[in-house]
Order: sequence, then structure tokens, then C-alpha cells
Amino acid sequence: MLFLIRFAFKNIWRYKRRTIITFIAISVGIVLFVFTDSMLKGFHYESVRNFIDYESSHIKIYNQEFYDEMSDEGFLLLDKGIENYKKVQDIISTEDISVTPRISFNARMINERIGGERPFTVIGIEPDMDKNVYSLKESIDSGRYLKTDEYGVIIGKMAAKKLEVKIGDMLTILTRTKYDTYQAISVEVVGIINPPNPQISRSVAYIPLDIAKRDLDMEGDITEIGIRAKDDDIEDLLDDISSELKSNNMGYLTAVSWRELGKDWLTLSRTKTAGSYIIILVIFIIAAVGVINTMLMSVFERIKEIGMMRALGMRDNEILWSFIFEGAAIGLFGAVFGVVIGLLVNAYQVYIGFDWSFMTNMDVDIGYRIMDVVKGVWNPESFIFAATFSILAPALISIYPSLKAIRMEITESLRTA
Amino acid sequence: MGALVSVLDLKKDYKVGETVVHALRGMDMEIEAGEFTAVAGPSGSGKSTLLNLIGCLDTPTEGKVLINENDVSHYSKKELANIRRESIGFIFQTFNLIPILSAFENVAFPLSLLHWDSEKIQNNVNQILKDVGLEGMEDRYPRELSGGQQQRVAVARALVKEPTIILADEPTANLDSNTGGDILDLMRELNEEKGATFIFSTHDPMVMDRARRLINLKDGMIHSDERK
Ligand SMILES: Nc1ncnc2c1ncn2[C@@H]1O[C@H](COP(=O)(O)OP(=O)(O)OP(=O)(O)O)[C@@H](O)[C@H]1O
Ligand SMILES: [Mg+2]
Repeated sequence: MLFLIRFAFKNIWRYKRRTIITFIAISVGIVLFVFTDSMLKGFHYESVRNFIDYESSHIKIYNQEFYDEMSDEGFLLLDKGIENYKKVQDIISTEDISVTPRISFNARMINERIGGERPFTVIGIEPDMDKNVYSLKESIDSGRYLKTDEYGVIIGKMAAKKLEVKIGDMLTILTRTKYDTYQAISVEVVGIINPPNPQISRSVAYIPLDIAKRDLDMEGDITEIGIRAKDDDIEDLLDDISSELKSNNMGYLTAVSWRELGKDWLTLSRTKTAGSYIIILVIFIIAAVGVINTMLMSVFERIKEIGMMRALGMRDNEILWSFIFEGAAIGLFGAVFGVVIGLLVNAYQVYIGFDWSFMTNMDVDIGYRIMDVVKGVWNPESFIFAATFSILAPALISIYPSLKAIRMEITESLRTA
Repeated sequence: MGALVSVLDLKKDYKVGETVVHALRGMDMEIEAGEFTAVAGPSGSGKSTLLNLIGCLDTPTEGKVLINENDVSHYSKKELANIRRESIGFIFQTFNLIPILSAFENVAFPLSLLHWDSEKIQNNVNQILKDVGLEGMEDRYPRELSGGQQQRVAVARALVKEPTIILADEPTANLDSNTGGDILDLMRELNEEKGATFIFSTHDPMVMDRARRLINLKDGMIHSDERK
């Protein structure tokens, strides 16, 4: 066996150029695979992070009717809010979670100076509580965070650019109250945030909860309670909260997990991942065709030599193994090379990251909650899979032509040119 | 004691489409140990076919080939491979060295197949390369050797395991006549010094002259058989 392995390693250098091209193809396949895998996982993790930190929190409590209408039609029904939310807070509060009330409503925002107008989701927040649940405060880019009871607004950097506003400018929020009457709220831009979540940056504005309550005639109601837990696995907590709500006669409320809230884009993200793997598969197939070609050629060009070796008494299985080892050896070189380059490229992606802002700047919803730089993740399995596949595939591919060659009569093999 | 090789009423047919070619039509002969035999005859007379059957590369349609009194005509492919591996050496018209192996490694190849240990391989290969006059060229690759030198490597490869019999189908046909003569002289020398048994085919009268036994074939039959 050792002799056959040594023989195989010598044989791969028979056609240097072809071998090198083949193992470059294998390496490129590996690099693209581990890179894309890391990138997609990075997109996903980052998106989950930014979704929880800026949109969904871990669990939200809604009025069931509000939630149904919001998820079915996208309407935010202010008359289907949560009454007496302090009591709800008391019921669900434990040491391990932070909670905060919010009022979300649809509005149009008008730049009072030049008149530009855009649709927004405006959210009333309780500044001191909100920062324990969401990451708004950390993403202030210029200006400051909101104060209680001021006619101030915080908007995202992308929205500010679209509306052409800066700190100190006045915006009019055009909306309807709980009783469906028109309302215009004039607010001053006090802060501009640059969140890593394009949905937030593009079309969400924040005002103090008191202002929203008062100017929308909410009479103390809010539309949702956001809850932050210790970690992202909140299924047990969700069950506890749901049963607490029920047993306290608050069955009209529903507790919804971030996974449920994000199911649309999570599905989209999975579809995109599948799509990307198809592209990778195509790359793998191209590499495999190169490998198949190399292995076919290296066997069929050596028909006469195979005949000679059989004449010298080399057994058929020894010939088969020598070609299997040869395929594996080419794969091994490709794998080593590909894994080394893959490690380097991915190290860059994991520790520095690539800038994807060209994608988020296109103003289209790509589903992912990412802005500019996204870092990849280390996924040892993808390296192990790619390397194993790269070694096994050429080894297995070489079986077919070898079997054909050893099924030939020796005398016939020897007669070939 | 019987002959080293006995051929008994040996027949070989080839089917080419609908027609059957009778390459060997019934041949009898005995080869004794230490003989130096040329098989001659016009093209298509069956020289290669005969050598292939004695060399266990192919099986006869009818008749028998006995090697050391063992009937190999009904051996399985695996058994034939074992006989070739242990008892038969081949020299080919086109040298057929492995291009990625050095002269030394080419000669060592049949010994590796026999799982000899590396020290024994080292000694035997160096000795035989010296015997065929290639001392100092052990590390050269086939492309760095002349045709004659390549055929010397091939001779060394055939002899290194000290096989029962060495078969050579037109070993000089790809060499100029001087070089061909040298190869024949080398084979004869090894035959005389080591007692190696050679059977080779040829078209070349100069080669026939150097044989000690000349078997002439015609239409798949033995036309003449003379010892000199
Ligand atoms: N594999 C084969 N299939 C069909 N016919 C064959 C095959 N091998 C040999 N023959 C035929 O058998 C006959 C004997 O061929 P063989 O090769 O033994 O002759 P040869 O004496 O070696 O000729 P040459 O001097 O040209 O090498 C020829 O008629 C040849 O065409
Ligand atoms: Mg012939």
C-alpha cells in the first residue's frame, strides 16, 4: 500500500500543468464555499442581532387584534392597544428581563423647511426604559437621545438624507389619532441615529411616549411591550409569559417571539441561503468536471502503461488503488491549498469584514438587517466538509476509468499507441 | 524432469466481426531451462500470439501451456497475474518504461510488487544495473536516456527478480541495428552468465544469427525448429 501511495504521489506530477490547474480549481471551489458559507452565516447572525436589538426585542406583547391586523395587512390599529400596561409589566416582571412600552403608528413626515414628504413608522418610546431593551441610544450618530415629554424626534441617517434634514430642523408628523381624526405633530430633530439595521435607518422615527400618548388620544394605552431576556432562546420564557397573561384574565393579549415576528425575512434569508448554495454547487460541479477530465485523461493516456504494469504482474486492485490514491493526492493538494487560502480570506472576513453598503444603499429591501460592514463567522464544519469532499471526489471519480482500463485485455492495452 | 515450458497442440483463434482468424493452428514445442530461443516468421505468422500465451497474458483457445509442469491454460486472471509477477519477465518492443520513475525505480518496480524489503531491492537493482552497463545512470529518467539505454533498463527490469523465463517481443525493432545487436549481445551474456532463459521474436536476420535456437513460424504453425 505504501508503495502504491508513493507511486500515486509521483504520478500526479506527470502532467504538472494539468495537475496544477485541477488543484487550483479544487482550491477555488473550497475558498468560495467556505467564504460564502461564512458570509451567509455572518449575514444571518448579524441580521438576527440587529432585528432583536432594533425591531423585535426578544418577546413582544400585543393586543391579539392589533397583532393580527399588523401581520396580515400592515395596519397599526391604535384602538386595539394594551390598557393598563403597568399591570402587565408587574405580572411578567422578573429580575431576568427588561421591559418597555411603545406606541407604534403609521405617519407621513414632512420637512417643514422644504416640504419633502415620506411615509414612516413612528414609535413613541419611554427613553429611560427603552434603552434597556433596544439599542437606539448606542447608535446616536449626531445630536442626542430623546428626553421625556419633549417635542423632539430621532430619525435614521438614511431617512435624514432622504428628507434633507439635520439636527435642529423641524418635521411635521401627519397621522390619525386613536379616534381616527387627523393630527399633525410638529417636532424638532434632536438626534440622528446610524443603526446597523437599514429598516430602522430608512423609515422609522422615534418620539417620546408621552407625546404620542397625548397627541394620539391614547388615554394611557400603548400598542406593545418589548421584552429583553438574557439570551436569544426564549421559548420557555414565552410559555411562562403566555400562561401568566391567561391566568390574570389578560387573554386578549398575545406574546410573540422574535422568531415569529421575523418569520418573513428569516424565510427570505433561508431562501437566499439556498440560492447561494446552488451557486456554490455549480462551482463545485465545474471543479468536478475539471477533476473528472483530469482523471479520465490520466487513466486513458496510460492504457499502454497499465497494460505493461499488468504484464509485470501488478494486480487489478493494485492498479485501481494507485489511481484512487492519485485522485486523492490531487484532491489533498487542492484541499491543503484551498483551506490555507480559505483560512486567510475568512480571517479577513471574520476580523475585519467586508463592506456591503453598496447593497443597502440601493434602497431595496434585501431582507437582511445589515448595513455596510458585516463580519463572517468561523464554521469549522464548512472547512472539514469542503476538504473531505475535495479529497474523496477525485478519488471516487478515478474508479470509473480505472475499472474500464483493467477490464481491457492486457494484449490489447499493450497494442495501443 | 520435464521441460521448463511445454506447448501442447496450442491453438488460438481471434474473432474479428463475423470471421475467425486462426492465429495459431496447433503448435508443439518444449523450451529447456537456459535456452536462448528466437521465434521468427513473416508478419502475421503468430509470433506475438505465441509469446503472449507463454507469457500468461492471454489464454489459448485449445491446447496447453505448461510452465514448470503446471498447466496455466485454465488459470484465472488472478492466478495468471501471480505467475507473471513471480516467474515471468517481459521486454517490450517500445521499452515501456514508466516515465515518472528513474532507471533505478523502474527496475525496482517488479520487486516492489513482490514486497521485497528496500535493502534487498537496493542491492539487487544496483547489481543488475551494473550488469546491463548502466552504472552511474540509476537516477536518470527514461527521457534522459537513449533508446538503447532505455532498453537496457527494460532488460534489467525483466531480469531483476530472476524469473523462470524472459519473453521479448521484437526487442530490437525500435533500435538501429548496432544498438539492437548490443542489446542482443547483452541478453546473450546474461543468458550465459546467469542462465536466464530467453524467448524472443524477431524479423531481423542479424538477431536470428545470435540465437542458439531458431523457431520459424508460418501461418500459425512451426515451419522449422533448429538448435545451433
Ligand atoms: N487481438 C487480435 N484480434 C484479432 N486478430 C488478431 C489479434 N491479434 C493477432 N491477430 C491476428 O492473428 C494473426 C497472428 O498475429 P500475430 O500478432 O501473432 O503475428 P506476428 O507474427 O506477431 O506478426 P508481426 O510480425 O506483424 O508482429 C494475424 O493474422 C493477426 O492479424
Ligand atoms: Mg508481433
